[in-house]
Amino acid sequence: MKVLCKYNLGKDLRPYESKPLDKGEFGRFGASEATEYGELEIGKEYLVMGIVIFETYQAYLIDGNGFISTCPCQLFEIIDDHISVNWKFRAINKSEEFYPFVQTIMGYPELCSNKNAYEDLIVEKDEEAERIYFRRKIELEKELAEQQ
Amino acid sequence: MYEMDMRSYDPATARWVAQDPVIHFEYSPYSAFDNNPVYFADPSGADSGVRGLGRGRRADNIQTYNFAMSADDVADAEGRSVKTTNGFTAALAFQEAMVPTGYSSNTTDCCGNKKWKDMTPSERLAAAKNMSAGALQGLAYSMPTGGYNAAMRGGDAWNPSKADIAGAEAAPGQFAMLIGGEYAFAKLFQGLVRLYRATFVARTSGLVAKGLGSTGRITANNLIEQMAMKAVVKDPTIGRVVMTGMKDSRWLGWRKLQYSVTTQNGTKAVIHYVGKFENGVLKYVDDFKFK
Repeated sequence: MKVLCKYNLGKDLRPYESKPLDKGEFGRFGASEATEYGELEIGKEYLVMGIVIFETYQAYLIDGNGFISTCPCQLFEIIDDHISVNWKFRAINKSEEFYPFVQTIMGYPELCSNKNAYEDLIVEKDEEAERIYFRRKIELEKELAEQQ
Repeated sequence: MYEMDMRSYDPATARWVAQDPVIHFEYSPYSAFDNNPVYFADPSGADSGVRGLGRGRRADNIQTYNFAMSADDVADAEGRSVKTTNGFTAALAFQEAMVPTGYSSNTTDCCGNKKWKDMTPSERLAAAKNMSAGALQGLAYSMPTGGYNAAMRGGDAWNPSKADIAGAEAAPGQFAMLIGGEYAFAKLFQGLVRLYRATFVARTSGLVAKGLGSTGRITANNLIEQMAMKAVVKDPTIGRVVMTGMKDSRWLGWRKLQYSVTTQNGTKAVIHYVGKFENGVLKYVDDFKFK
């Protein structure tokens, strides 16, 4: 799955909010109007490595210049909607630390098999988690190349 | 084991057994007397100071002196009107504070015209608007214990009441303002002169840096990180939420936010901090750190 970045600012998400918000108020995307998605470059293609369903929005797991993050789907346009045959799916149990902030995760196997994957990858920036991410990214790029 | 007001000291290990309620960049939160037991004393366990200064007087030290001196470069880089003598003025404030008989409320304004303790609030505001970060930090540190509380209730920061002093000593974290860097210092001065509200943190006037602790690296490794930190402490709403419901007792229930910057040559800076929200509005911030 590939997406094209259309926006990289919190104010671009305002039209997708479910209610009017003040400029500095954080909405359902966990962003204010001043929020900057510094890792995103408008017009650049990103390979989607996973989809994270948060409590109030959905996000793509991507990396910009090596910086791995989850960004709201509304910031992108889908240019290749093929999903990897190796992707897994996991529903977060209500007893887990990230519930209900994170509801479900879909993506490469380790993203779903490791219960701490979101925290390791996005919050803690754990090196081993990042190594796995990029190894899987190389595999996915090969898979996409073979399909074409 | 010696029981002090704020924490206990273990002479066998020459360490405090609890973390320092005041953040210092240079030391372990358990180190005592700023690693200089000959010069500094710490009768409360809250912070090291020069022996001989009485209760209600906050002593400064070499470290804060150096920090203020170096902070002038930061202020210059920001492009604000900065008088180059201000860092030196701040340094003089520290030097005065280091001498038991002197005190930095005797420090003059940037031009040497008038002492701070003799200024009216409007004169302090006018003088402070021209001061660098270093000088501001100097003044922040020169205030006596309770000065911040006095200022926040509209009183004289250099003449805090007993209640102001008691309040400050009961909440030493309020003085641990280094965590938010310049932003925190700006907030420290908010009640005194409200100088940064217009010029530095105008968009964050409702925010307060809590100074409850630090859990990561807070020293920038490069200019990009330094600039990113300056940007996010100026306006913490530029970040985004990456986690909710924090379990740390210091920020129980707060949210973790992230601010990231990538330059055109690929250099990245990522800053994490914690925020407390009320009805979707960011009200408190803390624990800014580089990832």
